[in-house]
Order: sequence, then structure tokens, then C-alpha cells
Amino acid sequence: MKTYGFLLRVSTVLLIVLVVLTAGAVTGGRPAWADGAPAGQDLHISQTLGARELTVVVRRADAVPGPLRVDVITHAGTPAGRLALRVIPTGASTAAGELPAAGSVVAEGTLDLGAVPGYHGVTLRVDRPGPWELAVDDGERVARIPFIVPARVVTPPEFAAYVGFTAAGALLLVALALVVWARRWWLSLFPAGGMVAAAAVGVTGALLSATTPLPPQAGPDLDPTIDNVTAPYSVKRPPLEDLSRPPVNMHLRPPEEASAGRRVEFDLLLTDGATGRPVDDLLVHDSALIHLIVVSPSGRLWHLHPVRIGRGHYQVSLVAGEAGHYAVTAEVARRGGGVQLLRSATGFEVGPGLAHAVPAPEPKGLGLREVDGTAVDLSVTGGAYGEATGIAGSNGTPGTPGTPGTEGVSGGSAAKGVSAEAGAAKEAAVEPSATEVVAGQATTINAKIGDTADLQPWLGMEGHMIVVGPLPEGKPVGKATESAPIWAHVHAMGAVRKDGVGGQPDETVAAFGPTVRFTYTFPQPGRYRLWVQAERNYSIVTVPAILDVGRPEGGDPPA
Amino acid sequence: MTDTTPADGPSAPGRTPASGTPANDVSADNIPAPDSSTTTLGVPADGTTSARSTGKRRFLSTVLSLALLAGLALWIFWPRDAGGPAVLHNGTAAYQIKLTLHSPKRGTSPVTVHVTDRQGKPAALTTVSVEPVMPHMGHAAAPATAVAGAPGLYRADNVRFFMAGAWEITVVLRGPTGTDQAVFPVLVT
Ligand SMILES: [Cu+2]
Repeated sequence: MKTYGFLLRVSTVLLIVLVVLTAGAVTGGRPAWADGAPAGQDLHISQTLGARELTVVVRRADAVPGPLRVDVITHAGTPAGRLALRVIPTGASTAAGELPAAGSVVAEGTLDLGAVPGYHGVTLRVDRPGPWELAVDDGERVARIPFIVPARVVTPPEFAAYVGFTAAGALLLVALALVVWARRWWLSLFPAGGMVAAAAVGVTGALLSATTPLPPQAGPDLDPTIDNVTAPYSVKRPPLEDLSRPPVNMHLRPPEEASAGRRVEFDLLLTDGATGRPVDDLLVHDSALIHLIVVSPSGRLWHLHPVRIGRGHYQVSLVAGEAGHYAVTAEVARRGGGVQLLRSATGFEVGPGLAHAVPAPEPKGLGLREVDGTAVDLSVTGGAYGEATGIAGSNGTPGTPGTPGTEGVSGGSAAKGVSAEAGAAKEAAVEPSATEVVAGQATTINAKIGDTADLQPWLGMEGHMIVVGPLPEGKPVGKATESAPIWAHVHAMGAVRKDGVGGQPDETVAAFGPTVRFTYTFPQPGRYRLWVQAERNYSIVTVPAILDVGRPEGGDPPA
Repeated sequence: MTDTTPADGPSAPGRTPASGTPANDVSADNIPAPDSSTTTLGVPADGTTSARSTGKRRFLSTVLSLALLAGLALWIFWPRDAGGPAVLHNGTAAYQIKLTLHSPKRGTSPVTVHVTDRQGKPAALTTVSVEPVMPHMGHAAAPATAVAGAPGLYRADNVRFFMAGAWEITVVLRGPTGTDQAVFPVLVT
């Protein structure tokens, strides 16, 4: 009888423990207390370093101190050569520490870039969490890429869960020991009760840890320091306020000597709109610190990613297509939130130069064309007439009759004897109505690039489309776009996922397309220039086009 | 704890129905119930004397555990550094810099900048200036020139922080090798 009672007691206590712990495990969901927060994602950043267009991928650092993998992806036409890479901690800290002070080079390595586009990797080392700088040195200039090495952070609810379940486990052992060895069995009820309380704390913590809002993040929200990266919950910070910052002014320091057909290098100086101080808090958004768009006098487009060479100081270069005035805009995101478009009020001038540097021909409208050896078909769905306008594979010439004024522009075009025109004539089966795209209505522009799904994600997306307009007649495109009311950057996100291990896929995954879709609502009627961009075979395909946007029936588009 | 074997005896059959409850009803909500009920079941089974002493002990242990909890709460919530100077370390390619904001409160405060080279030797600079800014607000305060004192030590006596919040002090070092800058984020209360 006595043995029976004893066994009963043991099993009761065990049962209670089991029920509580099971409830904790089931409702707690993820084992959040085991590892702390995931230690960040890979950083993808496009860099126009001299004549090279590179994608630098800083892989997440899993342990500190520990290795840091840096991959550099080169593109078609990237000159071979050697890059020197260095990592430098840059963060302020309240503790002096044993480690070398901020500003010193902790690790360096070199990368030999071959002529074939693709991956080149090197493993460096980081010795502390916090803000860092990756210096990419091509011998002539040094790009300084800011990045953050995260620390493993345990949130307070995770901490509670961890402590709660640990205490519950310990108390369980005590309770069992008392049941087995103590003469008074009920003594075990005290640790058992404590265990239930501890398990309750653990369950609560585990439940909360999934939903507790994060504190302002070092990097996206706050200027990163070693302290706020390491212990975001315990550093003192100002009461939650508007984290946004003043707008940015962009000064384009024109190239000293720029002539057509030659490489032109110029500087961008970003200053704070309120204090005039250098803006040195740009965030990587859409895989770049700055997305710079340059439009030539005849409508060639460059989409570049200037390198940071100092505080608020960026540099970029391009081979000027022809002489004349170039328009420049930049997209940036400051710490604290929000992307802003900076339109250079000045642009820059390029003087006459090499003989082969001539204006580009006027692009076509919708329809089939060949760009750098790739067949590209532009079509439109949506707009005023819904499905009826979805003429995939339809073809239109830029000077589509119907809109007065189009003749003037195409008449003034430099497109003389271009082979694309011959191809266009062959395809000219169906002429889309000139008014099929209407202002104020969402319109989808489909770009079929090639025939197979072999597009690579570029800047984390399937494609990008720059839209500028409405443009006046008879003005060089560079000048006209500089003062155009609308300047838009449309994204085609499609199937690119950003939630995989380490974040987005890199450019080595060539599995997207062939059709990329851009939905945009043209705010005003008129003539627009479009440039669709996607990556294929490690090279950026830029498809220029002209689109006439009609006035909706019944007057102006809704404001 | 003066209970003897008889106390053990009567409560043992008492357990049987109580332990049966949670076995059938597998729900986290019901867990504390059988526990507390068995404890209260056990008490009246004791003699009156031992009940009184148990009550006394229970009172004592309650007071003790409350005191323990209060101590824990105090330890957790006690303000760590109430108003002491803010000390921050940073560096540039050429220098190591230690900045001390003596009174990180709204108003004026001295700022000391201790600059050494990479080897730790005091740095000789032409000018050292301290430029406070509130990056979120876009407020810039008047810059101050730090005057050289001991080797490598530069001090600006009256740096004005006109409101509480997140500030950023840029230290500009002009020396024989050029100009260096380092930024120190500080919180002014
Ligand atoms: Cu870009």
C-alpha cells in the first residue's frame, strides 16, 4: 500500500510537469530561447567602381569574432584585375576594450577578377559586432561600404522564457528528489508549485517573444554604435519620436573635362537639408546606397551606383555617349526611413569628342524589337479599354498617327537608316491605338525579354522601369527629362523572394522572366520615355521606348 | 514541519481523487487547481497546534519571498548610471579618440577630447573642434574649439546642448597629416 501511494505521488508530480511543459512547448512555438535573434542577412550592394559594375555581397557573420565572407559578382564587360578588400570597424563605444580602436584595419584580402562574369569570393575576419566599413580598393579609388555586424540579441521575453523553463527544469529535479528522499512527501509540492510558476513565466515569455515589437534598430533607425548593436534593449535612447531626418541636397560637381566617347567621372556631394553637414547615413535600399539615373541628350540611359569615397561624398563614372546636356537623378534612403528622389538641378555638359560618339536613334513604341541581340516585346494590359488593349506581340511605331505632335518629335529624330526600322516594318501587323494607355488609370506594361526564363534578379528584382514625362516636343531628351514633371522608377517584383536563407537570391540564380510586368499609373497625359531594365547573362539589358498616354474620356485624370 | 507520520497517512487517500482530475483533464489552465487543493486539504488534517505554527511559518515565508521579490525588482529596475559623464571611444585611420561629455544634460557642458595616435602616444594637433548636431531634428548647435591642455588633451568648456534628445558630436581634428573626423552619438537628458 505504501509503495503504491509513493508511486502514485511520483507519477502525479511527473504528470503535472509533463502537462505544463508540453503546453509551454506547444504554445511557445519557436524555440526562441535557444539562440536569440537571427544574426542578420546578407548585404547585396551594387557598386559602379570606375569602369566596373560590381555586386558586392557581404554574407552574414554567424559568429563574432569570426569569418566574414565577401563575394564580388562581376558583369559582362567588367575588366579583369585585382581588388584589395579591407574591413575596418567604425563604431563608437562606451568601453575602451582590448581590441584595436575603431578606424584600424582588422583584416584584408585580395580578389583577382577574371574576364568571365561571375563570383569571386574572399573570407575576411571581423572581431566585434557593430558598424563596419568594407573598403574596396581598385588601385585608383576606394569604395567604402558601410555595413553592420550584428550581435546575438536575446529579447526580454526570450530571456524570460529561457529563465522560466530553466528554473522549471531545476525545480522539477528538486521536487522529484523530495518525493523520493524526503520523509514528508508534500514538501515536494513547494518546488512543484514554484516549477508551475516558472513554467508559466516561460510560457508567457515564449508567447510574447513572437509578438513583442522590436526597439528602434541600430542601422535602419539609429546611428549604429557598438553599444546599441550589442545591447539594443539596455542602451539609453531618446523617447520614441519621429526617427526621420531632413531631406538631402545633392550637388553634382561637374567633371573638369568631359568629351563625348570618353570616360567622364564626376562627384556627388550630399548634404543635410537643415544643417548643411555631409549626409553620411544612407541606407542600402534595393541593393544600393544611391541609384543614379543619367539620361543623355538623345535619350540613352545609365543606371549606376556611385561609390562612397568619404562622408557624404560619392563618385561615379560613365562613357559619355554623345555631346550635349545630361540629366541626372538619384534615389536615396536616409536612416530613419523613406526613399527620396534627388533631381540634380544642373545635370552636366559633355563637349564634342570622338567621331563615333553620335546620338542614339529614336526608340520605338510598343512592340517587338531587338536589343543587344535579344528579342524584346513590349505590350500593354489594363488602361482605358481593359482586356481589349492586351495586344501581346502587337507592334507600333513611335510616330503612330493619331496624336498630333508625334510627327514633330519623330521627324526631328536622328533615327536614320536604323536596321531596327526594317524589322519593325516586317512586324507591323497590328497598330495599337495611340490612346490605349490613359492617364490616371493603372496600366501594366509587359516586357518579354528573350524566350526562356533566364533573367537574373537585378537589385533584388526581376526588372526596373524608368518613366519620364510628359516631354515637350523638339527638345533634346537630356534637357527635356531634366525638367519633366514625372520621373518614376517602377519595380517588377514577380517571383523574386526575399525571405530565403540570408535574404534575397543573388544574381547567379538565372530563373526569372521571360516576361516582366510593370504596373504604373501615368499621372498626366502626354509623351513619355520608358526604359525597361533587366539582367540576362550578367549584362543589363536596357530597352528604351516611347509611350503616348492619352487623356481619359471626360477630361483630366483624377487628381 | 513538525508533522509526523499520521499527517502523511490521512492525506494519502485524499490524493487519489485530486490526482485523478488533472489526469483526465489535460489542460494547462487546470494545473494549479489540484495543487492548491491538496495543500489546503493537508492543513486541516494536522492538529491545531501544528496548524498555528504552520500559519506562522507561512506568514514568515510569505514576507521573506516578498522581500526577495522586492529586492530582485530593485536590482532590475535600479537606474544604472544616473547623470555621470558620458565617455565614448572612437577612432580614425590616424588617431584614437576618447570623448568625455562631462554633463550629458540640457544646457552647457565641458567636452574633453583625448587624442592619441595609433601607437597610443599623445597627438599634437593644430586645432580640435567640437560640432554638436541633432541629426533627427536637423538642429545644429554652435561649434566650439577645444583648447589644448595636457599633451593630447583638448577641452571645450562651454558646449551648448539646447534641448534633450539624441545628439551627435563631430570631432574635427586638423593636424600635420590633414583633417580627420569622428562622430560620437550621445544622449542628452
Ligand atoms: Cu539602381
